Amino acid sequence: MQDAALINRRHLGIIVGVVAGVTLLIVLMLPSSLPWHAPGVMLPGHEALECRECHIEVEGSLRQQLQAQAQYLIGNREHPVNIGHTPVSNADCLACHRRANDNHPVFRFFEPRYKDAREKLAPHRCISCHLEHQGQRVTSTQNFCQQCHGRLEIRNDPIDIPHKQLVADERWESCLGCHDYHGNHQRKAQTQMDQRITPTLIDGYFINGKSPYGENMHYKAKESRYDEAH
Amino acid sequence: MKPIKPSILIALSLVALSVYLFATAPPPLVQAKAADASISIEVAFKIVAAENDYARELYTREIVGEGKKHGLKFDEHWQDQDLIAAPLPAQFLRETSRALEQDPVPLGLFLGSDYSINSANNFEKEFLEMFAGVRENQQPIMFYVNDAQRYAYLAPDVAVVDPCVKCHNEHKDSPKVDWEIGDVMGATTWTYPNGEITHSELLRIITALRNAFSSAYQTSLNELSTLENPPVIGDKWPREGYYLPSLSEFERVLGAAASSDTLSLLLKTHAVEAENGGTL
Repeated sequence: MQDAALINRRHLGIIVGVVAGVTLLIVLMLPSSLPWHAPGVMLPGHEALECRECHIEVEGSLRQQLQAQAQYLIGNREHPVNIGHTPVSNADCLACHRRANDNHPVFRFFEPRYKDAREKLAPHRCISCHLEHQGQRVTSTQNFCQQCHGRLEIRNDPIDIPHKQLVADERWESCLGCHDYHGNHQRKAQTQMDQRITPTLIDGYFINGKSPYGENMHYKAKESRYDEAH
Repeated sequence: MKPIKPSILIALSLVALSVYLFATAPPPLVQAKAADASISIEVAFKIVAAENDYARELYTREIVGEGKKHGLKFDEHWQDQDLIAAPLPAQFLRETSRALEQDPVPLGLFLGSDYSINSANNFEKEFLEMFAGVRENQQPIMFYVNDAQRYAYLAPDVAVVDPCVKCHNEHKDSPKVDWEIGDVMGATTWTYPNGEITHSELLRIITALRNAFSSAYQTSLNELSTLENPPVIGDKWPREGYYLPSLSEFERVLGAAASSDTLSLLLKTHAVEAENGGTL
């Protein structure tokens, strides 16, 4: 009798577990549950974006995708396929953030001679500095300019402490104090070192603070990649 | 009821998984095939490098060189809000490169030197050595970039017209001020992800480049047309006075200059293929 009661409770437990699990799975797959899939907080400015802005669905059903991948694994298909969504790439970022005046456009770093920079900093990938779902605007440090500008020489240097001196003193933390990396802020670089923006203010901006470079931009990002009018 | 043996459960699961993965109840996803990818990318690189030489020579001599004589302004800081000027030849190439980046065709174009006005554009390490070879032999070289997974082609950028050497020799930040006509001032680097391409892909590459030249030249037109006294844009060139060729006129002259060599290379490619049935 006791064994039968135990078996019945066990069966009930299995049934309840399966029903609860399937229910949870169905709820999670509802469109309204998509925000729950995000692995972390969106970076400042992206809070209102839908998942589909960056995560593009791959063609075909899940079964077709899995079958195609199985064919690839056994050598019947030349190229692998993505499952679910295509990996997020520069193209997804540039769909809204492409602009003409970028001082450091990501595509430039695919030039062969930037091999060392690609290895150490990955500047050819937007997400190397702007990793999403971390709740921060910029996820890199401030010290990276030396990778490409380590031999900087300016003949008619406009600033009070020459760039050559700053380079010699390895004052790489000072670069962003005067220079906006992408050049999208409407401003002129300072010519007095004591007027530069402090690293603390820049750190705050990197997280989610107010822009110390000013609020006026040359180009405004699109609200949505599906927005034709811009 | 007897419990089901685990081995049977596993076998049934494997059967179900096999049916799910291999039974083509839904049609399989189509995969793109490169059926006749038999043209070496080096052919494409030769063509685009030659086309670029024509475009840069035309822009440098006929637009910048002649335009300056009639008061048109060209400046490396042409994008500054408080300056109305068109791109210099190096920036014309940058604009071409930027336009290419926006094209679905994955052709990359870059410019570098060992005496760049902006030292960040200098070749270093093994690329400096490669460039030294290009300068000495005045011949391009091709190589593969493992980390970027790109085929690359380093082609000499030769000072062919007087404005090239004059401007660089007189620039306040130029590290070298004794350039002469015929000097290899730098090199263009071309990149592409595939080592072999199809005929249609080759034509798309050439089309993408010509579209990029058009986009870059349109940028110059847009800038200079905002002058308080803009030049007349039409079928006349700065050589004839305060004029600028329209986009279609620029394209016509560039096409006339570059197409002969491009067509020769295309026909040669086709002839070799027809003869050998192999890769050029």
